[in-house]
Amino acid sequence: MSDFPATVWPTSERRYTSFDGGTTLETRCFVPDRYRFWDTGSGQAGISRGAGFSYSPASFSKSLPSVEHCRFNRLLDFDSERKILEVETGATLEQIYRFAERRGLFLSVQPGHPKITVGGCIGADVHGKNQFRDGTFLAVVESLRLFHPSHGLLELSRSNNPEIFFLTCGGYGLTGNILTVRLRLTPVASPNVRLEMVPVENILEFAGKLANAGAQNELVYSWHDFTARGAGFGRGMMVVGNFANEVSPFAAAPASKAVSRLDSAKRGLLPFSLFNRLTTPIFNRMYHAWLKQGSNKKLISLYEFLFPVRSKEAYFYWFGASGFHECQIIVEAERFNSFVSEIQDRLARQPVAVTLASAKLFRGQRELLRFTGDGICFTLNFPRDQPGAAFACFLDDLMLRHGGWPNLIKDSRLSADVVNAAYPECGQFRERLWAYDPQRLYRSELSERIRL
Amino acid sequence: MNCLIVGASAGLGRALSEQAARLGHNVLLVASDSRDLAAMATSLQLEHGVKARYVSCRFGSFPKEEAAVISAAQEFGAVELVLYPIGLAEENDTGFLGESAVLRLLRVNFLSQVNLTTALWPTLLKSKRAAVVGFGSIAAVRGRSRNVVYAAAKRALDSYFESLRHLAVGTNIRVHFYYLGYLDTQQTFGKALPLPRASPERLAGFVLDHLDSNSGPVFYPWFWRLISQGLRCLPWFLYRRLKV
Repeated sequence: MSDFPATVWPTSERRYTSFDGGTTLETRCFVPDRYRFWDTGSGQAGISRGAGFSYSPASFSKSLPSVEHCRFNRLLDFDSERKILEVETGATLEQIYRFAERRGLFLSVQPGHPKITVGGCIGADVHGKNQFRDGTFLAVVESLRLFHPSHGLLELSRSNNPEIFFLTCGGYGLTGNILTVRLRLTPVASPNVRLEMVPVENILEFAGKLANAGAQNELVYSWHDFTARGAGFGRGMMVVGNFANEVSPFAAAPASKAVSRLDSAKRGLLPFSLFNRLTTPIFNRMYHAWLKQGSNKKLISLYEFLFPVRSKEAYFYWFGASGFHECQIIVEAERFNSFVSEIQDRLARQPVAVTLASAKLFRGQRELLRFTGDGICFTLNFPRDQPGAAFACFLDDLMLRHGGWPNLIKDSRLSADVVNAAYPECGQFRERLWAYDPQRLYRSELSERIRL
Repeated sequence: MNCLIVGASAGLGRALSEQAARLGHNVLLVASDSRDLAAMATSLQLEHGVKARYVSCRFGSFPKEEAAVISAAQEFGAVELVLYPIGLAEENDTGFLGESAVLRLLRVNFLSQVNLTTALWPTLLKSKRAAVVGFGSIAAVRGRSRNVVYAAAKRALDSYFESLRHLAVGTNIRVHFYYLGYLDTQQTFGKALPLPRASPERLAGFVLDHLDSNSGPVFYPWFWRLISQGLRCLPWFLYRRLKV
């Protein structure tokens, strides 16, 4: 606490939209720029908001103002021996990348867009393309400082207040405002990554291939065409990648310095969607042809490897104002083929414009509401329209029948019943949260929807 | 260049500090809260590899706070660029403030800058290329029924910077003065304003890009020049009817 006189911080009305376009709310917000904001916080809570890239509205609600952390985006300390970087939680992944790159380091776990903030990564305990090797964002968090009006400033780590630490990492911002965090950086083996495209002709043979590729490569993910019919259903590419350790004849593309303009408000600027049942199969065929063209091996920069979404931003704009659904589900590998077969049957009967189907290998211990565990993480994108809504409900039912579990931060329409059924420790998360904060000061549309 | 930025922790001051560091200038940051300054100084050092130091002081609360800044500036190295994005306005500044509140407004908005410039002028004269940049306000164009003392202090600052320009003729020092309209900062946040807010980041870029120019005072954004001239020309019997 400081000796500055108490300040009344101005608020403004803002219209926030979830990145998938599913939820729009008018609410109040603070955009503080001084540490003394947290001095005046007695009794006053506001749910933290970073870059606003989460698909599910975890950073705003009707009942509580949001606190935008964009001004708390500074790098605070660097221990070069231990490779620990301390940052404010409004710092973006791009800022950290630029800092670390000059020192031959990188953050080994991060999602695909450079404007995402560190606070968001902790709150949703996000993953990257290499979850099966490096785990979720929790793996790179050493410690953090949390503010809560009733508890003041808390220092959290695996050894200091571990219960609150694990409740906060993957706690969707409900334990308070994370102010600073200490992150562990990793030496980078090479500034370039070699990618290899492996054609996938049959989705039902894919699960085995994915497991084998995972054992031999640093990065594995896939893309599939779910608008193809018959035997071609699910054809696509498995992308395997490794840090380039040989002298390569290829030149890696330089890291882009252009500023991204994508955010949740601008994403929906287009009044209509370019994706529908007629256009999507054409887009998918063109994308498949583009993936197949030229050499099946290529060298890309570390920046492109870490932030693949950066060069594909147009994809999100094309969904237009109505937005899109993203269903990201982990299914045990043994049940993957049955899971996909049922999707194939459903799409044959009632076609939906599936714009993206992608799989990654996942490993980890399930706990509370963190999106991790052993299995195949399967992602589907499709337009937010009537057939899309029905298909999303079908996927909920299919997922529960196959013992799968969804990513809460990727789907803004998941119900409390689905989450309770899919996450055995959901009740435990709720109990711990209420024990820590009996007044339940921190709320978001997500927490209210799934009744946390 | 070695820059001294007074009022560096937020709004325009922060934008100037970040832009200066991005351009490779060393920065000495001055503001009231050491927590904000410490975070900024470290971040600028880590992100841009420049030398960044800070002094926390409260010009409004304690007289002679300038001494700490002058001493830090001497330690920092020869200062070549002085930027004053400092300002303090009070909601209750409607004409009848007590003496201590008036003095606080005068110290922050005027006297601190006079004292610091007086102390640093000999150092600035010794460098090959130097600049002093002050920031006034559109609120000071004519007397108003709000921000009474604040506007008076800013008007005094305007006159002071014009005098500095005279004193700098024939020297290596460039003196710049900006009349600022609405900026997108905490002061205007959430307020319904009749005209758009300018981005502090863009203004910071503009200020640092034009250090070598020798033009007169600049209105930012530009349309405030027209408004300001209109207000100055308005006869009293009309001006008094405006709710300003």
